[in-house]
Amino acid sequence: MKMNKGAIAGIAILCAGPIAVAETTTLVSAKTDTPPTLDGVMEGVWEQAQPLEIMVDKLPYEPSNGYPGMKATQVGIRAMHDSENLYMVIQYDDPTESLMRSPWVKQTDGSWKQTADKDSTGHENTYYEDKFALLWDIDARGFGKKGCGAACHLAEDGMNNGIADTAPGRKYTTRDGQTIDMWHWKSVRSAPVGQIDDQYIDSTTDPAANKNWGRKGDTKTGGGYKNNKSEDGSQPASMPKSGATGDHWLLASEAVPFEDNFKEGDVLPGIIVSPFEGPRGDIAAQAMWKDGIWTIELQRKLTTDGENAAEQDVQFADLGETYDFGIAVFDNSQINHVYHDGVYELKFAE
Amino acid sequence: MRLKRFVLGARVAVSLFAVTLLGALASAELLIYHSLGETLEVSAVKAKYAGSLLVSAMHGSMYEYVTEDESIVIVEEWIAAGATQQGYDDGVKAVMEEDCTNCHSRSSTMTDAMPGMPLTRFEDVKKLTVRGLPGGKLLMQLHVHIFALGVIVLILSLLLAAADIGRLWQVLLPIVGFLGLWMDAAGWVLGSVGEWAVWLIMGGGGLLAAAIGLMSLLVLLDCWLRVPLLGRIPDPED
Repeated sequence: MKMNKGAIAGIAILCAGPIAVAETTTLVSAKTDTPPTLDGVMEGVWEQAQPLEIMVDKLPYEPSNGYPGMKATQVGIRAMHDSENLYMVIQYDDPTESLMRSPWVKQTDGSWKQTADKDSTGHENTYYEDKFALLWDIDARGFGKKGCGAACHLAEDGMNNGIADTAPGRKYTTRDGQTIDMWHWKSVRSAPVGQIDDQYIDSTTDPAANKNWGRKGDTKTGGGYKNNKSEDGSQPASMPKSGATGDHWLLASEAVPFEDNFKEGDVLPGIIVSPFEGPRGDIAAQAMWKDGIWTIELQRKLTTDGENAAEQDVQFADLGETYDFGIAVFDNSQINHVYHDGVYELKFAE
Repeated sequence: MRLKRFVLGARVAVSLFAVTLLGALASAELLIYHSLGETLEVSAVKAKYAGSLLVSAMHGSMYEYVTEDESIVIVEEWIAAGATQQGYDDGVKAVMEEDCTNCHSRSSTMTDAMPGMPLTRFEDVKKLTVRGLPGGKLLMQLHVHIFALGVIVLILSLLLAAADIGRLWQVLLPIVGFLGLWMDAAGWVLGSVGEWAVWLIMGGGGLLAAAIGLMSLLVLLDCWLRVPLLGRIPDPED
Protein backbone atom coordinates (compact mmCIF):
# COMPACT_ATOMS: atom_id res chain seq x y z
CA MET A 1 0.00 0.00 0.00
CA LYS A 2 1.27 3.41 -0.91
CA MET A 3 2.03 5.56 2.05
CA ASN A 4 -0.01 8.67 2.46
CA LYS A 5 2.75 11.05 3.60
CA GLY A 6 0.34 13.79 4.51
CA ALA A 7 -1.67 11.49 6.72
CA ILE A 8 1.45 10.15 8.38
CA ALA A 9 2.73 13.64 9.05
CA GLY A 10 -0.61 14.52 10.61
CA ILE A 11 -0.53 11.42 12.76
CA ALA A 12 3.00 12.23 13.89
CA ILE A 13 1.93 15.71 14.96
CA LEU A 14 -1.13 14.44 16.79
CA CYS A 15 0.87 11.71 18.50
CA ALA A 16 3.21 14.30 19.91
CA GLY A 17 0.58 14.47 22.64
CA PRO A 18 -0.34 17.33 24.86
CA ILE A 19 2.41 19.80 25.44
CA ALA A 20 2.61 20.91 29.03
CA VAL A 21 2.94 24.67 29.19
CA ALA A 22 4.58 25.75 32.41
CA GLU A 23 3.05 28.79 34.03
CA THR A 24 5.52 31.61 34.32
CA THR A 25 6.01 32.61 37.91
CA THR A 26 9.12 34.72 37.51
CA LEU A 27 9.22 38.46 37.12
CA VAL A 28 12.49 39.58 35.58
CA SER A 29 13.60 43.10 36.38
CA ALA A 30 15.31 44.73 33.42
CA LYS A 31 18.40 46.79 34.07
CA THR A 32 17.97 50.33 32.86
CA ASP A 33 19.84 53.58 32.58
CA THR A 34 16.58 55.41 31.95
CA PRO A 35 14.39 55.37 35.04
CA PRO A 36 10.69 55.74 34.37
CA THR A 37 8.84 58.87 35.31
CA LEU A 38 6.46 58.12 38.15
CA ASP A 39 3.18 59.50 36.85
CA GLY A 40 0.77 56.59 36.68
CA VAL A 41 1.30 56.24 32.93
CA MET A 42 3.10 53.25 31.47
CA GLU A 43 5.29 55.06 29.02
CA GLY A 44 7.57 53.51 26.38
CA VAL A 45 10.53 52.97 28.68
CA TRP A 46 8.63 50.08 30.27
CA GLU A 47 8.71 48.17 26.97
CA GLN A 48 12.20 46.93 27.84
CA ALA A 49 10.72 45.00 30.80
CA GLN A 50 8.84 41.75 30.24
CA PRO A 51 5.42 41.66 31.95
CA LEU A 52 4.41 38.96 34.38
CA GLU A 53 0.70 38.22 34.31
CA ILE A 54 -0.96 37.04 37.51
CA MET A 55 -4.61 36.05 37.80
CA VAL A 56 -6.12 36.85 41.18
CA ASP A 57 -9.45 35.10 41.51
CA LYS A 58 -9.93 33.90 45.07
CA LEU A 59 -11.58 35.66 47.98
CA PRO A 60 -10.99 35.03 51.68
CA TYR A 61 -14.58 35.57 52.84
CA GLU A 62 -18.12 36.51 51.84
CA PRO A 63 -19.30 39.67 53.59
CA SER A 64 -22.69 39.28 55.24
CA ASN A 65 -24.14 42.32 53.44
CA GLY A 66 -23.02 41.23 50.01
CA TYR A 67 -19.90 41.86 48.01
CA PRO A 68 -20.25 43.96 44.85
CA GLY A 69 -16.49 44.10 44.25
CA MET A 70 -14.43 42.23 41.68
CA LYS A 71 -14.14 38.49 42.10
CA ALA A 72 -11.25 38.22 39.66
CA THR A 73 -8.83 40.36 37.70
CA GLN A 74 -5.62 39.88 35.76
CA VAL A 75 -2.64 41.84 37.05
CA GLY A 76 0.29 42.73 34.83
CA ILE A 77 3.56 43.64 36.52
CA ARG A 78 6.82 44.91 35.05
CA ALA A 79 10.02 45.73 36.91
CA MET A 80 13.21 47.62 36.16
CA HIS A 81 16.20 48.57 38.26
CA ASP A 82 19.28 50.71 38.16
CA SER A 83 22.17 50.78 40.59
CA GLU A 84 20.06 52.39 43.28
CA ASN A 85 16.35 51.72 42.86
CA LEU A 86 13.76 49.13 41.94
CA TYR A 87 10.91 50.42 39.77
CA MET A 88 7.68 48.59 39.17
CA VAL A 89 4.53 49.25 37.19
CA ILE A 90 1.34 47.40 38.03
CA GLN A 91 -1.76 47.38 35.84
CA TYR A 92 -5.09 45.70 36.32
CA ASP A 93 -8.69 46.04 35.22
CA ASP A 94 -11.04 47.55 37.75
CA PRO A 95 -14.30 48.86 36.31
CA THR A 96 -14.79 51.33 39.16
CA GLU A 97 -12.50 53.96 40.62
CA SER A 98 -13.33 53.82 44.32
CA LEU A 99 -12.35 56.88 46.34
CA MET A 100 -15.36 57.50 48.57
CA ARG A 101 -13.82 56.25 51.81
CA SER A 102 -16.37 56.93 54.53
CA PRO A 103 -17.02 60.59 53.72
CA TRP A 104 -19.07 62.94 55.91
CA VAL A 105 -22.44 64.03 54.52
CA LYS A 106 -24.52 66.85 55.97
CA GLN A 107 -28.02 65.61 56.81
CA THR A 108 -31.43 67.25 56.42
CA ASP A 109 -31.61 68.01 60.13
CA GLY A 110 -28.25 69.74 60.07
CA SER A 111 -26.31 66.92 61.66
CA TRP A 112 -23.35 65.15 60.03
CA LYS A 113 -23.21 61.48 59.24
CA GLN A 114 -20.18 59.48 58.20
CA THR A 115 -21.33 57.06 55.52
CA ALA A 116 -20.84 53.42 56.33
CA ASP A 117 -22.29 50.01 55.51
CA LYS A 118 -20.20 47.58 57.48
CA ASP A 119 -20.64 43.83 57.33
CA SER A 120 -21.10 41.55 60.32
CA THR A 121 -17.35 41.46 60.90
CA GLY A 122 -17.21 45.25 61.16
CA HIS A 123 -15.57 45.80 57.79
CA GLU A 124 -16.52 48.08 54.94
CA ASN A 125 -17.20 46.96 51.37
CA THR A 126 -19.28 49.87 50.13
CA TYR A 127 -17.84 53.24 51.12
CA TYR A 128 -14.18 52.55 50.80
CA GLU A 129 -11.12 52.82 48.53
CA ASP A 130 -9.25 50.65 46.05
CA LYS A 131 -6.03 49.09 47.31
CA PHE A 132 -3.22 46.89 46.06
CA ALA A 133 -0.83 44.86 48.19
CA LEU A 134 2.56 43.46 47.30
CA LEU A 135 4.00 41.13 49.92
CA TRP A 136 7.72 40.24 49.98
CA ASP A 137 9.20 37.41 51.94
CA ILE A 138 11.85 38.45 54.43
CA ASP A 139 12.22 35.20 56.35
CA ALA A 140 8.72 33.84 56.98
CA ARG A 141 8.14 30.08 57.24
CA GLY A 142 6.13 28.81 54.30
CA PHE A 143 6.19 31.97 52.18
CA GLY A 144 8.56 30.43 49.64
CA LYS A 145 5.88 27.87 48.79
CA LYS A 146 2.53 29.36 49.81
CA GLY A 147 3.18 33.06 49.27
CA CYS A 148 0.77 35.35 51.10
CA GLY A 149 -1.11 32.27 52.31
CA ALA A 150 1.69 31.64 54.77
CA ALA A 151 0.46 34.62 56.78
CA CYS A 152 -3.30 34.18 56.27
CA HIS A 153 -5.21 32.74 59.22
CA LEU A 154 -8.99 32.58 59.13
CA ALA A 155 -11.16 32.39 62.21
CA GLU A 156 -13.66 29.65 62.91
CA ASP A 157 -16.76 30.36 64.95
CA GLY A 158 -15.32 33.66 66.10
CA MET A 159 -12.05 32.19 67.34
CA ASN A 160 -8.63 32.80 65.83
CA ASN A 161 -5.58 31.15 67.34
CA GLY A 162 -7.58 30.56 70.52
CA ILE A 163 -8.61 34.20 70.82
CA ALA A 164 -12.14 35.52 70.38
CA ASP A 165 -12.18 37.75 67.31
CA THR A 166 -14.88 39.21 65.09
CA ALA A 167 -12.65 39.60 62.03
CA PRO A 168 -12.92 36.84 59.41
CA GLY A 169 -9.16 36.44 59.41
CA ARG A 170 -5.84 37.88 60.48
CA LYS A 171 -2.38 38.23 59.05
CA TYR A 172 0.55 36.98 61.10
CA THR A 173 3.61 34.83 60.65
CA THR A 174 3.82 31.54 62.51
CA ARG A 175 7.25 31.93 64.09
CA ASP A 176 8.54 34.62 66.40
CA GLY A 177 10.97 36.98 64.74
CA GLN A 178 9.91 36.08 61.19
CA THR A 179 8.53 38.87 59.03
CA ILE A 180 7.03 39.75 55.65
CA ASP A 181 7.35 43.14 53.97
CA MET A 182 4.02 44.55 52.80
CA TRP A 183 3.75 47.37 50.26
CA HIS A 184 0.19 48.58 50.62
CA TRP A 185 -0.97 51.07 48.02
CA LYS A 186 -4.17 52.88 49.01
CA SER A 187 -6.05 55.02 46.52
CA VAL A 188 -7.20 57.54 49.16
CA ARG A 189 -4.80 57.31 52.08
CA SER A 190 -1.43 56.97 50.31
CA ALA A 191 -1.85 57.75 46.60
CA PRO A 192 -2.68 61.46 47.01
CA VAL A 193 0.66 62.02 48.76
CA GLY A 194 2.62 59.99 46.20
CA GLN A 195 3.43 57.06 48.41
CA ILE A 196 2.78 53.42 49.14
CA ASP A 197 2.13 52.65 52.78
CA ASP A 198 5.20 50.60 53.74
CA GLN A 199 4.04 47.98 56.22
CA TYR A 200 5.17 44.60 57.47
CA ILE A 201 3.77 41.46 59.07
CA ASP A 202 5.19 39.78 62.13
CA SER A 203 4.04 37.02 64.49
CA THR A 204 1.92 39.16 66.84
CA THR A 205 -1.34 37.40 67.75
CA ASP A 206 -2.22 39.46 70.77
CA PRO A 207 -4.79 42.13 69.88
CA ALA A 208 -3.88 43.97 73.07
CA ALA A 209 -0.36 44.39 71.73
CA ASN A 210 -1.53 45.42 68.26
CA LYS A 211 -5.15 45.73 67.17
CA ASN A 212 -4.28 44.52 63.68
CA TRP A 213 -2.42 41.51 65.09
CA GLY A 214 0.67 40.85 62.93
CA ARG A 215 -0.02 43.60 60.39
CA LYS A 216 1.90 46.76 61.28
CA GLY A 217 3.21 49.97 59.76
CA ASP A 218 6.93 50.46 59.38
CA THR A 219 8.59 52.85 61.77
CA LYS A 220 7.61 56.44 61.09
CA THR A 221 8.89 59.75 62.37
CA GLY A 222 5.91 61.81 61.28
CA GLY A 223 3.14 62.27 58.76
CA GLY A 224 0.61 59.66 57.73
CA TYR A 225 -3.18 59.57 57.77
CA LYS A 226 -5.80 59.94 60.48
CA ASN A 227 -9.58 59.99 60.69
CA ASN A 228 -11.17 63.37 60.19
CA LYS A 229 -13.43 63.14 63.19
CA SER A 230 -14.22 65.43 66.09
CA GLU A 231 -13.48 64.26 69.63
CA ASP A 232 -17.10 63.28 70.21
CA GLY A 233 -17.30 61.64 66.80
CA SER A 234 -20.34 63.63 65.73
CA GLN A 235 -18.82 65.69 62.92
CA PRO A 236 -15.61 66.35 60.95
CA ALA A 237 -12.67 67.79 62.85
CA SER A 238 -11.26 69.64 59.86
CA MET A 239 -12.24 70.85 56.43
CA PRO A 240 -10.45 72.13 53.32
CA LYS A 241 -9.51 75.77 53.28
CA SER A 242 -11.61 76.13 50.17
CA GLY A 243 -14.72 74.47 51.59
CA ALA A 244 -16.44 71.41 50.17
CA THR A 245 -14.15 70.50 47.27
CA GLY A 246 -15.64 67.09 46.53
CA ASP A 247 -12.33 65.36 47.19
CA HIS A 248 -12.46 62.30 49.38
CA TRP A 249 -9.25 63.04 51.19
CA LEU A 250 -8.05 66.16 52.96
CA LEU A 251 -4.41 67.06 52.65
CA ALA A 252 -3.12 68.05 56.07
CA SER A 253 -1.50 71.07 54.47
CA GLU A 254 -4.92 72.22 53.25
CA ALA A 255 -6.83 71.50 56.46
CA VAL A 256 -8.37 74.13 58.69
CA PRO A 257 -10.58 73.63 61.76
CA PHE A 258 -14.14 72.64 60.90
CA GLU A 259 -16.73 75.39 60.83
CA ASP A 260 -20.22 74.32 59.91
CA ASN A 261 -21.31 76.73 57.22
CA PHE A 262 -22.33 73.93 54.85
CA LYS A 263 -25.66 73.06 53.33
CA GLU A 264 -27.59 69.78 53.28
CA GLY A 265 -25.91 67.16 51.10
CA ASP A 266 -22.44 68.71 51.24
CA VAL A 267 -19.66 66.18 51.50
CA LEU A 268 -16.41 66.41 53.44
CA PRO A 269 -13.52 63.93 53.47
CA GLY A 270 -13.39 61.28 56.17
CA ILE A 271 -9.62 61.11 56.20
CA ILE A 272 -6.74 63.57 56.57
CA VAL A 273 -3.56 62.60 54.76
CA SER A 274 0.05 63.69 54.69
CA PRO A 275 3.24 61.99 53.50
CA PHE A 276 4.78 59.45 55.84
CA GLU A 277 8.14 60.53 57.17
CA GLY A 278 10.75 57.96 58.02
CA PRO A 279 10.92 54.31 56.90
CA ARG A 280 7.14 54.00 56.43
CA GLY A 281 7.48 56.44 53.54
CA ASP A 282 10.24 54.51 51.76
CA ILE A 283 8.19 53.79 48.64
CA ALA A 284 7.26 56.54 46.20
CA ALA A 285 4.30 55.89 43.92
CA GLN A 286 1.98 57.55 41.46
CA ALA A 287 -1.21 56.00 40.19
CA MET A 288 -3.92 56.72 37.68
CA TRP A 289 -7.29 55.13 36.98
CA LYS A 290 -8.30 55.54 33.36
CA ASP A 291 -10.77 53.65 31.16
CA GLY A 292 -11.28 50.96 33.78
CA ILE A 293 -7.60 50.29 34.40
CA TRP A 294 -5.48 51.14 37.40
CA THR A 295 -1.83 51.88 36.62
CA ILE A 296 0.47 52.15 39.63
CA GLU A 297 4.13 53.06 39.28
CA LEU A 298 6.44 52.73 42.25
CA GLN A 299 10.03 53.24 43.20
CA ARG A 300 11.98 51.97 46.18
CA LYS A 301 15.67 51.86 46.98
CA LEU A 302 17.14 48.40 46.43
CA THR A 303 18.30 48.45 50.03
CA THR A 304 17.00 50.52 52.89
CA ASP A 305 18.83 51.49 56.02
CA GLY A 306 16.17 53.11 58.17
CA GLU A 307 15.36 52.14 61.72
CA ASN A 308 14.37 48.45 61.92
CA ALA A 309 15.00 48.05 58.17
CA ALA A 310 16.24 44.46 58.51
CA GLU A 311 13.01 43.41 60.22
CA GLN A 312 10.56 45.52 58.22
CA ASP A 313 11.93 45.77 54.68
CA VAL A 314 12.90 43.26 52.02
CA GLN A 315 16.48 44.03 51.01
CA PHE A 316 17.43 43.50 47.38
CA ALA A 317 21.07 43.42 48.38
CA ASP A 318 22.19 40.59 46.11
CA LEU A 319 20.97 41.02 42.55
CA GLY A 320 21.95 37.43 41.82
CA GLU A 321 19.30 36.16 44.22
CA THR A 322 15.57 35.69 43.70
CA TYR A 323 12.97 37.35 45.90
CA ASP A 324 9.61 35.72 46.63
CA PHE A 325 6.45 37.79 46.50
CA GLY A 326 2.66 37.64 46.27
CA ILE A 327 -0.06 40.15 45.42
CA ALA A 328 -3.64 41.00 46.28
CA VAL A 329 -6.18 43.45 44.86
CA PHE A 330 -8.74 45.17 47.07
CA ASP A 331 -11.75 46.52 45.19
CA ASN A 332 -13.45 49.17 47.29
CA SER A 333 -13.03 46.89 50.27
CA GLN A 334 -11.43 47.19 53.67
CA ILE A 335 -10.09 43.67 54.01
CA ASN A 336 -11.74 41.48 51.37
CA HIS A 337 -9.38 40.98 48.44
CA VAL A 338 -8.77 38.84 45.40
CA TYR A 339 -5.60 36.80 45.71
CA HIS A 340 -3.72 33.92 44.12
CA ASP A 341 -2.40 30.65 45.47
CA GLY A 342 1.32 30.00 45.52
CA VAL A 343 4.26 32.33 45.18
CA TYR A 344 5.99 34.40 42.51
CA GLU A 345 9.63 35.44 42.35
CA LEU A 346 11.56 38.48 41.24
CA LYS A 347 14.89 38.09 39.46
CA PHE A 348 17.24 40.84 38.40
CA ALA A 349 18.65 40.78 34.88
CA GLU A 350 22.31 41.69 34.65
CA MET B 1 -12.32 -7.42 6.75
CA ARG B 2 -8.78 -6.04 7.10
CA LEU B 3 -8.24 -2.68 8.68
CA LYS B 4 -6.55 -1.36 5.54
CA ARG B 5 -9.67 -2.17 3.54
CA PHE B 6 -11.88 -0.02 5.68
CA VAL B 7 -13.29 2.89 3.73
CA LEU B 8 -11.36 6.12 4.14
CA GLY B 9 -13.82 7.63 6.59
CA ALA B 10 -13.62 4.56 8.82
CA ARG B 11 -9.83 4.57 8.79
CA VAL B 12 -9.80 8.25 9.68
CA ALA B 13 -12.19 7.58 12.57
CA VAL B 14 -10.13 4.62 13.81
CA SER B 15 -6.97 6.71 13.54
CA LEU B 16 -8.47 9.56 15.49
CA PHE B 17 -9.66 7.11 18.13
CA ALA B 18 -6.12 5.73 18.44
CA VAL B 19 -4.61 9.20 18.59
CA THR B 20 -7.14 10.19 21.24
CA LEU B 21 -6.12 7.22 23.36
CA LEU B 22 -2.45 8.04 22.97
CA GLY B 23 -3.21 11.60 24.00
CA ALA B 24 -5.29 10.33 26.91
CA LEU B 25 -2.37 8.19 28.06
CA ALA B 26 -0.13 11.24 28.04
CA SER B 27 -2.80 13.20 29.92
CA ALA B 28 -3.15 10.38 32.42
CA GLU B 29 0.57 10.57 33.09
CA LEU B 30 0.22 14.29 33.77
CA LEU B 31 -2.80 13.61 35.99
CA ILE B 32 -0.94 10.98 38.00
CA TYR B 33 2.03 13.32 38.24
CA HIS B 34 -0.26 16.02 39.61
CA SER B 35 -2.23 13.84 42.01
CA LEU B 36 0.83 12.16 43.44
CA GLY B 37 2.94 15.23 43.88
CA GLU B 38 6.01 16.51 42.13
CA THR B 39 7.78 13.16 41.89
CA LEU B 40 6.34 9.79 40.96
CA GLU B 41 7.71 7.86 43.90
CA VAL B 42 6.53 4.57 45.34
CA SER B 43 5.95 6.31 48.67
CA ALA B 44 3.52 8.70 47.04
CA VAL B 45 1.62 5.83 45.39
CA LYS B 46 1.53 4.02 48.73
CA ALA B 47 0.20 7.13 50.40
CA LYS B 48 -2.56 7.51 47.83
CA TYR B 49 -3.82 3.94 47.62
CA ALA B 50 -2.65 2.23 50.79
CA GLY B 51 -2.26 5.18 53.11
CA SER B 52 -4.87 7.40 54.72
CA LEU B 53 -6.85 9.90 52.69
CA LEU B 54 -5.32 12.63 54.83
CA VAL B 55 -1.71 11.73 54.06
CA SER B 56 -2.60 10.93 50.47
CA ALA B 57 -4.01 14.43 50.00
CA MET B 58 -1.01 16.04 51.70
CA HIS B 59 1.31 14.17 49.35
CA GLY B 60 -0.87 14.83 46.31
CA SER B 61 -3.57 17.29 45.42
CA MET B 62 -3.13 19.41 48.55
CA TYR B 63 0.66 19.39 48.47
CA GLU B 64 0.89 23.01 47.36
CA TYR B 65 -0.70 24.04 50.66
CA VAL B 66 1.66 21.99 52.84
CA THR B 67 4.20 24.35 54.33
CA GLU B 68 6.96 21.81 54.86
CA ASP B 69 7.37 18.08 54.09
CA GLU B 70 8.03 17.58 57.78
CA SER B 71 4.35 18.39 58.36
CA ILE B 72 3.41 15.25 56.42
CA VAL B 73 5.86 13.21 58.48
CA ILE B 74 4.23 14.50 61.67
CA VAL B 75 0.82 13.33 60.45
CA GLU B 76 2.16 9.98 59.20
CA GLU B 77 3.84 9.27 62.51
CA TRP B 78 0.71 10.26 64.40
CA ILE B 79 -1.40 7.82 62.38
CA ALA B 80 1.19 5.06 62.75
CA ALA B 81 1.11 5.60 66.51
CA GLY B 82 -2.65 5.12 66.65
CA ALA B 83 -3.95 8.64 65.88
CA THR B 84 -4.54 9.54 69.52
CA GLN B 85 -6.09 12.70 70.92
CA GLN B 86 -2.82 13.42 72.74
CA GLY B 87 -0.82 13.15 69.55
CA TYR B 88 -3.31 15.39 67.79
CA ASP B 89 -3.02 18.04 70.48
CA ASP B 90 0.77 17.81 70.55
CA GLY B 91 1.47 18.33 66.87
CA VAL B 92 -1.18 17.49 64.31
CA LYS B 93 -3.55 20.27 65.36
CA ALA B 94 -0.86 22.86 64.61
CA VAL B 95 -0.24 21.33 61.19
CA MET B 96 -3.94 21.41 60.37
CA GLU B 97 -4.21 25.04 61.46
CA GLU B 98 -1.16 26.05 59.48
CA ASP B 99 -2.05 24.29 56.24
CA CYS B 100 -5.66 23.12 56.14
CA THR B 101 -8.30 24.79 58.26
CA ASN B 102 -8.57 28.07 56.36
CA CYS B 103 -10.60 26.16 53.78
CA HIS B 104 -11.44 22.99 55.72
CA SER B 105 -13.65 24.49 58.40
CA ARG B 106 -17.40 24.54 58.95
CA SER B 107 -17.61 28.31 58.73
CA SER B 108 -15.12 29.01 55.94
CA THR B 109 -16.46 31.14 53.09
CA MET B 110 -13.17 31.28 51.18
CA THR B 111 -13.43 30.70 47.46
CA ASP B 112 -11.98 27.21 47.94
CA ALA B 113 -13.87 26.51 51.16
CA MET B 114 -14.58 22.86 52.00
CA PRO B 115 -17.06 23.21 54.87
CA GLY B 116 -18.30 19.68 54.23
CA MET B 117 -14.88 18.27 55.08
CA PRO B 118 -13.78 20.19 58.18
CA LEU B 119 -10.42 19.51 59.80
CA THR B 120 -10.76 21.73 62.84
CA ARG B 121 -11.43 19.06 65.45
CA PHE B 122 -9.79 15.79 66.49
CA GLU B 123 -12.80 13.74 65.36
CA ASP B 124 -12.75 15.41 61.94
CA VAL B 125 -9.13 14.55 61.34
CA LYS B 126 -9.34 11.09 62.85
CA LYS B 127 -11.98 10.12 60.28
CA LEU B 128 -9.51 10.60 57.47
CA THR B 129 -6.83 8.34 58.92
CA VAL B 130 -8.35 5.03 57.78
CA ARG B 131 -6.01 3.16 55.43
CA GLY B 132 -6.99 2.83 51.77
CA LEU B 133 -9.48 4.65 49.60
CA PRO B 134 -12.81 5.29 51.37
CA GLY B 135 -15.53 2.74 50.48
CA GLY B 136 -17.80 5.04 48.49
CA LYS B 137 -14.96 6.64 46.58
CA LEU B 138 -13.42 3.23 45.90
CA LEU B 139 -16.65 1.80 44.46
CA MET B 140 -17.26 4.86 42.32
CA GLN B 141 -13.73 4.91 40.92
CA LEU B 142 -13.68 1.15 40.35
CA HIS B 143 -16.99 1.28 38.54
CA VAL B 144 -15.84 3.97 36.14
CA HIS B 145 -12.30 2.64 35.80
CA ILE B 146 -13.17 -0.98 35.04
CA PHE B 147 -16.05 -0.27 32.73
CA ALA B 148 -14.40 2.47 30.69
CA LEU B 149 -11.00 0.83 30.36
CA GLY B 150 -12.53 -2.61 29.79
CA VAL B 151 -14.48 -1.29 26.80
CA ILE B 152 -11.43 0.53 25.46
CA VAL B 153 -9.26 -2.61 25.65
CA LEU B 154 -12.02 -4.62 23.97
CA ILE B 155 -12.37 -2.15 21.08
CA LEU B 156 -8.61 -1.99 20.58
CA SER B 157 -8.43 -5.80 20.69
CA LEU B 158 -11.04 -6.12 17.95
CA LEU B 159 -9.32 -3.52 15.80
CA LEU B 160 -5.99 -5.21 16.36
CA ALA B 161 -7.51 -8.50 15.25
CA ALA B 162 -8.33 -6.84 11.93
CA ALA B 163 -4.82 -5.43 11.54
CA ASP B 164 -2.02 -6.99 9.53
CA ILE B 165 -0.10 -7.78 12.70
CA GLY B 166 1.40 -11.08 13.78
CA ARG B 167 -1.15 -13.36 15.49
CA LEU B 168 0.98 -13.64 18.60
CA TRP B 169 0.56 -9.91 19.20
CA GLN B 170 -3.15 -10.03 18.41
CA VAL B 171 -3.59 -12.51 21.23
CA LEU B 172 -0.94 -11.37 23.66
CA LEU B 173 -1.74 -7.66 23.86
CA PRO B 174 -5.44 -8.08 24.80
CA ILE B 175 -4.44 -10.59 27.49
CA VAL B 176 -1.84 -8.18 28.87
CA GLY B 177 -4.37 -5.34 28.78
CA PHE B 178 -7.09 -7.17 30.70
CA LEU B 179 -4.58 -8.72 33.11
CA GLY B 180 -3.25 -5.24 33.87
CA LEU B 181 -6.77 -3.92 34.41
CA TRP B 182 -7.61 -6.71 36.85
CA MET B 183 -4.34 -6.30 38.75
CA ASP B 184 -4.90 -2.55 38.98
CA ALA B 185 -8.44 -2.95 40.31
CA ALA B 186 -7.37 -5.65 42.75
CA GLY B 187 -4.65 -3.35 44.06
CA TRP B 188 -7.17 -0.59 44.74
CA VAL B 189 -9.38 -2.97 46.71
CA LEU B 190 -6.53 -4.57 48.63
CA GLY B 191 -4.85 -1.24 49.46
CA SER B 192 -6.66 -1.22 52.79
CA VAL B 193 -5.11 -4.61 53.66
CA GLY B 194 -1.47 -3.80 53.14
CA GLU B 195 1.05 -1.65 51.34
CA TRP B 196 2.12 -4.61 49.20
CA ALA B 197 -1.04 -4.04 47.14
CA VAL B 198 0.63 -0.95 45.71
CA TRP B 199 2.83 -3.22 43.60
CA LEU B 200 -0.30 -4.67 42.04
CA ILE B 201 -1.43 -1.14 41.18
CA MET B 202 1.90 -0.08 39.75
CA GLY B 203 2.48 -3.35 37.89
CA GLY B 204 -1.07 -3.61 36.63
CA GLY B 205 -1.22 0.05 35.67
CA GLY B 206 2.04 -0.31 33.78
CA LEU B 207 0.84 -3.38 31.86
CA LEU B 208 -2.49 -1.75 31.07
CA ALA B 209 -0.91 1.48 29.85
CA ALA B 210 1.66 -0.40 27.79
CA ALA B 211 -1.01 -2.59 26.19
CA ILE B 212 -3.31 0.31 25.36
CA GLY B 213 -0.43 2.42 24.08
CA LEU B 214 1.02 -0.32 21.90
CA MET B 215 -2.34 -1.44 20.54
CA SER B 216 -3.31 2.14 19.73
CA LEU B 217 -0.03 2.74 17.94
CA LEU B 218 -0.22 -0.50 15.95
CA VAL B 219 -3.82 0.12 14.92
CA LEU B 220 -3.00 3.68 13.94
CA LEU B 221 -0.02 2.70 11.83
CA ASP B 222 -1.80 -0.26 10.26
CA CYS B 223 -4.53 2.01 8.95
CA TRP B 224 -2.05 3.69 6.65
CA LEU B 225 1.05 1.56 6.14
CA ARG B 226 2.65 -1.76 6.78
CA VAL B 227 3.80 -1.82 10.35
CA PRO B 228 7.56 -2.30 10.63
CA LEU B 229 8.82 -5.43 12.46
CA LEU B 230 5.46 -6.61 13.82
CA GLY B 231 3.58 -6.39 10.55
CA ARG B 232 2.79 -9.46 8.44
CA ILE B 233 1.69 -10.20 4.91
CA PRO B 234 -2.09 -10.54 5.02
CA ASP B 235 -3.43 -14.07 4.72
CA PRO B 236 -5.60 -14.29 1.56
CA GLU B 237 -8.20 -16.16 3.60
CA ASP B 238 -8.48 -13.41 6.17
